[in-house]
Amino acid sequence: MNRARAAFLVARAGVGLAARVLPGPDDRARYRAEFAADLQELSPAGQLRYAAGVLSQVFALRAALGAAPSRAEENAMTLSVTPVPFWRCRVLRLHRWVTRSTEDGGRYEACAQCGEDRGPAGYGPMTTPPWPGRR
Amino acid sequence: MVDLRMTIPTQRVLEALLEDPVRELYGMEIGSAADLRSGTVHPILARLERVGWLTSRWEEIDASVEGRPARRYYALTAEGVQAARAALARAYRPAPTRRLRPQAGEA
Repeated sequence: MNRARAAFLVARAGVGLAARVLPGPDDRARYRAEFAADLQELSPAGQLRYAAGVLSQVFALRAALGAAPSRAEENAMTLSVTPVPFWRCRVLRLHRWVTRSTEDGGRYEACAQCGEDRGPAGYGPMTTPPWPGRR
Repeated sequence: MVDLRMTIPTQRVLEALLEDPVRELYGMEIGSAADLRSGTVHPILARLERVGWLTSRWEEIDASVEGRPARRYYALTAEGVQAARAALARAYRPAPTRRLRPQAGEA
């Protein structure tokens, strides 16, 4: 077996393993086939990188497939909102900003007390589309 | 309208899809256009599809003739085009800042 073939088999096993984590049989079959199609056009090293990327984000995909799209549920999953000290945020504007993650890996800042969303974290000015140096 | 969290990767995916809203793209193409790592794109596509902004279908090819498996193609729905444009416009809008006060020595 040559290296290219070995890399393909390892990558295909990796994406197959990732697909097994997904919630339903239809989703598993769909994403296994979708990932396998993507692998076809990559170099052996690219196939291994692709499989590693898919494996690293498979729980985000699982959450995206299983999560309800409402904002309330998103907040419930990503924020630990405590109802007590709202007045500090609303009246005194004393937020306690913390960095949070969404299920797709994005980072944003939100108040740990009231849940107010301050936008993306760590990407420079928020008012400059498109993001400098990131296109 | 559904309110999705507009993370930077989500914005990049929407920007890639809005370049030509009627064109269908497959996952890896979207990842390349959005400059995102593999694995990052599919959760975003799944969320967008789940809220009805995207639709997807299998490519209709004979795999034995083409020599490769069929791809899954994604495209924005009509509602998705409008919603994505509106969401990106909101995301680009300046964040609210504290009220400016004259500094000492200013009029």
